[in-house]
Amino acid sequence: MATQTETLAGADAPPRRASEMAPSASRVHLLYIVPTFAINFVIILVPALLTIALAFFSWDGISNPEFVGLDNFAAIFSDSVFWSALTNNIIWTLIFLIVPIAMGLVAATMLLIARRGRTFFQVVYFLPVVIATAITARVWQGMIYSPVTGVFGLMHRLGLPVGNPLAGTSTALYGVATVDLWHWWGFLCVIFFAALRQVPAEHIEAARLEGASYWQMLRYVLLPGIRPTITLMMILTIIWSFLVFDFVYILTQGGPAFSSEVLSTLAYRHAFYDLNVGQAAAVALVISCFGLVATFFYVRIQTREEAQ
Amino acid sequence: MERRTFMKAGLALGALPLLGRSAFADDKKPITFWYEAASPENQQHLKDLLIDPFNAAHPDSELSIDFRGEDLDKQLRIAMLSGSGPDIVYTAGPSYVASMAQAGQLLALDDYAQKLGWNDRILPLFMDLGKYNGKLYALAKTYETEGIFYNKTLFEKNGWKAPTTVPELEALAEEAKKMNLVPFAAGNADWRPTNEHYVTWVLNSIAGPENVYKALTGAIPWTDPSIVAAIDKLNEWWQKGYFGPNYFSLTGEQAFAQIATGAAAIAPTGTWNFGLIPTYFPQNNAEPGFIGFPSAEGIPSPIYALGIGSTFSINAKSENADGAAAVFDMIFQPKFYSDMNSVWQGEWNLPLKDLSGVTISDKVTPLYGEVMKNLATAVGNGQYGYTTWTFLPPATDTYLVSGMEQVWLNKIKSADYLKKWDDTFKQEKDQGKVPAIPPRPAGA
Amino acid sequence: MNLIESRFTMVVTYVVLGIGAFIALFPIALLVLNALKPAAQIVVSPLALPSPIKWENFAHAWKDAHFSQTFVNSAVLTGLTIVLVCTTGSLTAYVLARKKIKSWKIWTFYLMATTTAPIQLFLFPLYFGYARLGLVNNPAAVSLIYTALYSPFAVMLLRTYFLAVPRELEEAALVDGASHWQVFSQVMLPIVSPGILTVALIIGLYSWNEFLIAATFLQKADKVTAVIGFYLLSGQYSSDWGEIMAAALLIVLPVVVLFLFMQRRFIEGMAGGSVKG
Repeated sequence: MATQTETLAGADAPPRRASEMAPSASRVHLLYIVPTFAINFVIILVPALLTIALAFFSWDGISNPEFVGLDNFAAIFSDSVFWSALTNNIIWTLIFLIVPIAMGLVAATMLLIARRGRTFFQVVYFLPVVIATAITARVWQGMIYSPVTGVFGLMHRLGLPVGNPLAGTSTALYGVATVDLWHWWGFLCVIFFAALRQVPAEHIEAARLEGASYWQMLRYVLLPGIRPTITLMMILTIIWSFLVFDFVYILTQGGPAFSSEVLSTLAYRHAFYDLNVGQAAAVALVISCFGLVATFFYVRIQTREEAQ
Repeated sequence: MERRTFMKAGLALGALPLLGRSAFADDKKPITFWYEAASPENQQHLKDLLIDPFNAAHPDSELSIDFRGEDLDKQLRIAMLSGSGPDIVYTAGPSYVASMAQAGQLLALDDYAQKLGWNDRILPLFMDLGKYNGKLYALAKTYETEGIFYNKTLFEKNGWKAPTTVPELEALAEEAKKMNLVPFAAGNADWRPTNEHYVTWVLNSIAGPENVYKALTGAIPWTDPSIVAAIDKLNEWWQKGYFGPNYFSLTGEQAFAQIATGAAAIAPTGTWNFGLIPTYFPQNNAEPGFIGFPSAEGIPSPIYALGIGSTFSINAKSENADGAAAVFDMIFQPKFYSDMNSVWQGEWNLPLKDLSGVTISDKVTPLYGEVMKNLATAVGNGQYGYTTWTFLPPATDTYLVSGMEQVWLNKIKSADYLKKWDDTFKQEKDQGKVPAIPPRPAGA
Repeated sequence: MNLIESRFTMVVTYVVLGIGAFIALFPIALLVLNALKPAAQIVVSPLALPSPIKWENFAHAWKDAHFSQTFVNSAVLTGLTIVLVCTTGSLTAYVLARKKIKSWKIWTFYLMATTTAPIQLFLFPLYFGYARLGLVNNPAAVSLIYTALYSPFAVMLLRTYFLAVPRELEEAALVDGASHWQVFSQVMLPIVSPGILTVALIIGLYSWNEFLIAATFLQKADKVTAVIGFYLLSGQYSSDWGEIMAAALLIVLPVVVLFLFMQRRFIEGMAGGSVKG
């Protein structure tokens, strides 16, 4: 990450020059931020406030909204699909807190050991990140999972007991998660590697002189050394896990029998297929609540990190 | 970045609306039409038989068809909400039209029907099925039924006989299973509502059309034992593995191809699949066969369930409604019927009153004409069955599709399924969303 | 930095790294391999080498996914978004980094919070609002959504570049009588231009690949992006995966080539802004 010479925490220090904060200059500079925030308010803030309001209305997107109090929440809470979607989001979060982070850490420490080919491996691992989700989804769907055109189908014809994970209620969610894992872990590996390189060489050298094994090195030197980065990535993982949409929407559309439905696809379906915008808004609020807690920690860590 | 770049950006933004306008600089009024998936050959047929002749005959309009694939339904719903959908609104059946008509997204077609003489040309039953609250919103593009497609060559080789009773059908399925064949070729990977094709099957052939008619008109609830028995039968077939291991991974086309290659015994599906026969049967040196579903005891056999496979409507926001109506007018003619059905079977069975002027190419399997004649006869004397996508209101139809999946996968019991189905139906009946069901001749 | 140098450790290291590379490359290899094959060969085995190579897949894919139109749409949308994000973002990043306004702290917190806002929180009212204003199917209006979505990330990243510029440069210019605008545009911008390039690359990547917004807000045949064109195509010919993979390759290729040439910038930028695509 780019180095930072100024910090948010330094805000309390007086400005070096009075002229910088002079009212006239301040007013001119206020104009500079108008475009960014004007766009942000129109696209994000105002509609977000409307979503909060809509969660208490019944609205089909066309006629006039009608105030219904907490009915939308009552309706979604009594819907078993909502609860299975929420459970799926939680399972998803747990998977992504463990698997890609572990894969990324292992690969990143290996990159640290390897002296040759670091750039090559980094680029290869990062490649899935730059491919569009729609394309990644179709490649896995057709070329890997499909019983007709995919590698799984080929293995099945050769007598191996493999079926399309997307077609089973107990496996669909994991089938989708695998695709997102593939798309995602390389990013974490590259981030962790960048962080590992900042761990002071003296610490590593000292541990080596004491004859530390790989696991001891990892546990006592490397992991503590990049803990802030790991924490940050975990918080972001939680936030993103509640936003997952593309892969579920393209690969299974939440099926079979809602077994891979997540909150974001549920909200989308409520809004655009069932024309039940109020319930969609209610689900969106639930998603946001989970995100909000994580966002709080994210902002706190970001500012604290800058302060150090 | 310097100031010049800012100015360029400003220019680029300013120029955008101009670009949009210049694209329509010629005076032709566009007519947009989103179609579902079509093979490249069939896309060519549409161009040769519809787009080119229409544009030649109407120099002031420019008809264009955009193929949207399996996503058509979703895209259409989202687009109609913003009033930016195509001029010609194409849906997968009257159940899909209902919600759009109710939301005021469609134009009433009664004036066009009168002016252009559609009432005289189209079978009245189908005109009635396109009506909501007394107004005509949709024309039935194709009417269809379901039955069993099979591979005569494979049947001869195995010494099988096309089943004419339910026990025969089940015996055949068991035998196919023993031979490691998929008993029923089926797949919903590309079209989730494929589930309702099978629900329709058992409703008509196990519960019987009389009971379905009673349920549709509210005389009995959907939780009636006859309906429960039908759903239980369908679930029993599923649990026995008749639908094969890959139902959720195969597309309808991939599944259908299995009977041509001899990987599956029968394909219980709709007549729209006649269009796939030339693609798969000749290359496998197989001869196709088709029979109606055998019925349970006490029900006339076979029952031909009547379905409207797709519908035409006009977008309420269309700027060229007259043009769209002119397109319909060109389609609902004996000439178009003849030409289209000669090259593409199963998707263009237009409900024309008078088919005396129709001649279909002799290259088409005679089976097709035979099946369509049987269906027309059943419709003529009121002895038809009911497809769910034609006669059920939208929310009930949506629920029965996802709910059946939950029954199959042991997430809910069939009784709970039908209970929720019945609740949804009653709610929609109260809201006046159930289409008018044509009366059934007594003693049928 | 050398951790442990035993031969055994090295072997294990490279085996693990090799497995990682295999995992990353296997689906990509399938994509490339099958883009060159006729459908019938894919059904036999998706792993076999193409023989003969079916180059027509690319021509068919180009035509059937309407790439001659959709690539232009994607390019316009991507370009417009890059311009909007970089112009508005660099202004804001400068002001916030240099604390030019008293309330800079609040604005910074707000932006940080919006980097993590779920799309569903604002998608539905935004869609119906756009629909009412007739802005659906308008690429410029969609690029505004992208700008709102990606700006927080861009500002946070650009801010770090502005922070690294020595304060003295700015002060010297002001003493020389330069206006505030001149200080920004003629002193600061040229110095942070590498940062702007990085932001442009990443925003470009996201806009080019984006799915949810594009699928929802651009529906007309002559307005859809290349990715959506591909998505619609792949929903259509479930039978010809050769053509579908060829279409995928056509979209992925420019991105991957650009990435290989600029990989350092991509990786540093994405790591710095921590944004998931």
